Amino acid sequence: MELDDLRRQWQTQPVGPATSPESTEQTLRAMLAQTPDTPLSHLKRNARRNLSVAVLILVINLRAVLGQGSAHGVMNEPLMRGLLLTGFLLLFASLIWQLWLFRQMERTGDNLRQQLSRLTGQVKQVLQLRQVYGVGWYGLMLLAALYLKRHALLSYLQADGQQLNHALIVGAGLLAAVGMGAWLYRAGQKQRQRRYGQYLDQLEATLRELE
Amino acid sequence: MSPATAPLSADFTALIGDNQPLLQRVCRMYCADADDRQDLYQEIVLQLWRAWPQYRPGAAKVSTWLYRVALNVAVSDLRRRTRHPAPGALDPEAPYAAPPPEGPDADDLAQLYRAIEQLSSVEKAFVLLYLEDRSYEEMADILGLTQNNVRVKMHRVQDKLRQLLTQPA
Repeated sequence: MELDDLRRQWQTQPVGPATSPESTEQTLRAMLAQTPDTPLSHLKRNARRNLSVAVLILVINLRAVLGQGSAHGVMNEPLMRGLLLTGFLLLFASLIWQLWLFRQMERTGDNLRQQLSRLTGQVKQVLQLRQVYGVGWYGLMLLAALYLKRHALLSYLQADGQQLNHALIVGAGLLAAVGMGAWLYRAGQKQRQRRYGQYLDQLEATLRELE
Repeated sequence: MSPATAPLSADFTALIGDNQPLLQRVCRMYCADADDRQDLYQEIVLQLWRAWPQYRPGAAKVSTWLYRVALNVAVSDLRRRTRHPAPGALDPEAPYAAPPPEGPDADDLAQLYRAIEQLSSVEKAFVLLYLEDRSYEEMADILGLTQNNVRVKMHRVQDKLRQLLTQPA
């Protein structure tokens, strides 16, 4: 038996009882009322929750960000305020972009090839975005720590007769911090690969097969 | 607006009512299990509802648009992984719940279905559109390929099916 033989039967499969428009509408409402439980809807929910948490944290720290009435002298320094503000901006931009990407990923009216190549590109963008955001935040934290400890560091480096030793220790500390950053980056990459990699591989394989 | 509270236009309700068999056939091609079919059907309807405001009748035939959305959902696997059957939603025993083949060709037919099940999701899309009697032009439009490309790939899929059918079980 070949496909041509099946084609004759395919479209004449048994059909259920005709439904009235009212019952179709009721059925549709029941179906649409369900909360979608797709991988994409999970990602969207997470991104929305993270955005709400970020807004809450910003509201709590608003006075510190604006440099008004901070109890600690540290937050009155313009560079610290700048770093904090940059961190928040980075966080908001990343979350809003992610939400926009997830919304775009739900578009399904394109042809299959366009759909697959768009989805592949968007999943990659989400991965890159999280990567850039992670690196950016770590860099900001490192900068802030160096800035806060700058006086102690400078006096430590200029200690009489110990300059070379102290410079080596500080260098090793910086190297360790960069190494820690690299390790966190790799761990993040592995986690993202676990979370999205399989889906991305599947999309790319399907796209290759179609092309 | 939430899908549960959004108004359902009469056009959309009629569209789904009229094309329920088509959507069920897509689900049947991709899911052997009745619960999975039900999940896929719901996800396709949800995506159709989301995409409906953007549908422009002049840009594509309604059937082309329906196949596009349904295949995009089925192939790109954006659907749910865990099952939460809708209370009161479409009856899983309803039409196209994969009735066992009957008649003199029942064995051959069952063998062909088993062979189709072994195809990839893209190959199944070609088989589905072929069984649905879509022209190469419409297939090309749905899949985003040239008509020649569709022809070549369709032949390859048919060859693969023949090979699968000649393999010992």
